[in-house]
Amino acid sequence: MRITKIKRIPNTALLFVLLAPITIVYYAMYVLNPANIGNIYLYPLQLFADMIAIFIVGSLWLTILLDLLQPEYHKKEIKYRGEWLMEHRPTIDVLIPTANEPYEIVANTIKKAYMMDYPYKKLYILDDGNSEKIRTLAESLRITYIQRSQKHFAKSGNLNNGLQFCKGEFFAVFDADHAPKQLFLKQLLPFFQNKNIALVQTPQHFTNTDNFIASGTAQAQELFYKYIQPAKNSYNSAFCVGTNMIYRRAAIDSIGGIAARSHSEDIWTTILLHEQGYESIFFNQILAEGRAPETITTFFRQQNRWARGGFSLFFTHNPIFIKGLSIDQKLQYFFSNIHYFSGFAILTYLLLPIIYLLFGMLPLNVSESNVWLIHYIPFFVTVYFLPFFLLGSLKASTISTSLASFAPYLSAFFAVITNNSYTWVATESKSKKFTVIAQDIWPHIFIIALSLFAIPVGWYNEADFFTTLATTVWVILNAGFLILFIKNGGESKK
Amino acid sequence: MKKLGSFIINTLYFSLIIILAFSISTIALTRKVNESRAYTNNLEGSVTKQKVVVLTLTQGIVDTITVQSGQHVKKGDVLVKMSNPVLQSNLKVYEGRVNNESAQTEANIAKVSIENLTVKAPVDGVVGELYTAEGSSVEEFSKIMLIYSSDDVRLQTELTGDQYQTIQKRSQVNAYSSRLNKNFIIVPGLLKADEKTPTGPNEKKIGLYFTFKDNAQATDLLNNEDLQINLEDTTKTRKPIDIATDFWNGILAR
Repeated sequence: MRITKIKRIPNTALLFVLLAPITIVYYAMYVLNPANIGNIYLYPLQLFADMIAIFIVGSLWLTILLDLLQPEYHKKEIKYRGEWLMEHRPTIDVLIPTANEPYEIVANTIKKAYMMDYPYKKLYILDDGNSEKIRTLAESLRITYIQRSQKHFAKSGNLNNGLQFCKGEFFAVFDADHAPKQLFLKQLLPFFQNKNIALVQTPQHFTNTDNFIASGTAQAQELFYKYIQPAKNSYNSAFCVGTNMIYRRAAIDSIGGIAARSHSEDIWTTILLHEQGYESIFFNQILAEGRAPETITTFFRQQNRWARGGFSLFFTHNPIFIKGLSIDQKLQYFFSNIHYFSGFAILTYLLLPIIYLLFGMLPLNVSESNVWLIHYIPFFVTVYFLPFFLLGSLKASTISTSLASFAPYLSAFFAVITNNSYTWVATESKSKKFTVIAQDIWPHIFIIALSLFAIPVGWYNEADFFTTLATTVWVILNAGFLILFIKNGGESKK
Repeated sequence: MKKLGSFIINTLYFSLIIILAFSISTIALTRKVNESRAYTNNLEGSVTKQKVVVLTLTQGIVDTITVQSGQHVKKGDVLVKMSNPVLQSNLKVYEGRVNNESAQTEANIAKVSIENLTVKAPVDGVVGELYTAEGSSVEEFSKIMLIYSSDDVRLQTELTGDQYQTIQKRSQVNAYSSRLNKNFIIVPGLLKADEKTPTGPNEKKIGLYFTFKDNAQATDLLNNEDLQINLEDTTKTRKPIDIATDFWNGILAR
């Protein structure tokens, strides 16, 4: 069978592919022109933010384009025969690592995993949270329950510890909040008849989209799973996302186990596998249902983890320099890593209009505002309405959560730069430490407050009516999205 | 208990953050207000005093110059002592010829000339440049020094249209000398004849002469000195903005 790629690209996505280079280059011509420099201190900031945005959108464009343009004969034929299951009878261990997630969620995952339709599976619950209730459940279902005394390397340590007891030819991993469907194993195992394949990954799908934050992140993830991961598939660059996948045990053993780190072991493990020449497959069918973070704290924790993964790869093990990866793989990993630099761009875009209202300084010389507008608006539409182009819809929650995520991305950046040690806390766990919401959202409160105060200051003796008006509208919009985020991100009602 | 603790910490955090945002905003506002005030208040005038050239009334040799540049003089003060020995001896000769009428007239003229050897200040004022030095010989009616007169001191400025309107509304206008740390009351006077065409908005195009209400006070001022003219309405009540701006200006001035 051939692996599903983007079969039929929607018209809006095609429009994006055609227009993006034009709008990007057109704007780049303007912003890179030294004649348009305004305030000499703000201009580098604007340039930096714009370059990041251009890079990220450009990499997305390139990924989709190259995938579209790949000629048919380049696409690999993957052997897939369902009969192989009966002939070969592969054995598989199902690992469910958990650490203090709410009981109902873990129980649901365990039960669903138990009910997967395949005879040669063994379940293991790897509990780093010492939950009595889960142990009881495991016993009642006759599932192996494993605890460990020393909890180093968080999830990857947990998995490696559990693997000691596993003897299956393959193993699947499900996070505590992702429950597999019945057909999961039967559908995916046949891929492994190709000896070189070490990983088969399926999408994360989120069902709790009635929650504001969950729906926002779900749409962002949709972009990733609909366009990016399938495109990576074409270049054998699909990487593990930590759940809903099957690994070949021998391949993992050959790289010394799951990558021993406190976070982002998923993508690191995949890189190590790719370095050894193994192949990965992304199968774009939803075979497990999970939950997206619902509260600000959990959402930020997750984003912070992912961002740390990206930055730590970028700075300490940059895929560009790894031998053994193909050029496509290097590029694809690189693009994924740089995504988190968007935190800088978002913060800059939030602050620059406020700076104008307060101090009257502009990064670009917009004395002839028409020229700037003509160059900027198409670019703006391309970047900000990206999800609209590629997914057909754009939700307020998506914009809100994207804007708000500058905080966890930036804190991740500084943590990685300063080599901060990291204690892994599960996305959904209730931490014993006394967490205060203010620690997470003080930057947002600050920006909202500053925005509101800056508006009257901006209108005092305003220099240019239209610029001030446009900036005020923009500031109100941004503050509005942030307020929406904070208002809807409260503790979920259970 | 945990909820209360969490609530308190949150409130503290947020209050701090909001205060920080508020401070930044009011600092920015202060800066804007200062700028706009400095702009509307940015009126400098330059002192123009009449230049009076002191001439010799007779020829001779400059013996002593009794004043220095920058010195205040009153009308009648001695500025320069000259000598002319020829004149002295001539006087003796003329006085000797008692019965000769023309000789007596010549003697009288000589006496006046001798008196004129002491050059006195023709007006109150401040001594400016000296055109001669001790020991040099000078002709009749030659320049020896410049005096900046204290009579009719003027303050010359250039204004924008708005500023001119503002002046007309004021009951009195103050000018401030930072050098002397002194305020002067000035009265708008003549408009300068030539109005320049403005090349930009807010450009100053109206030339105006102020006079000093109390001219005597202006004696200490030097020619071409700059004074700050205050257009602010001192009778205005303090607005809330002023509280903020005064606060930050006070802090930032340290």
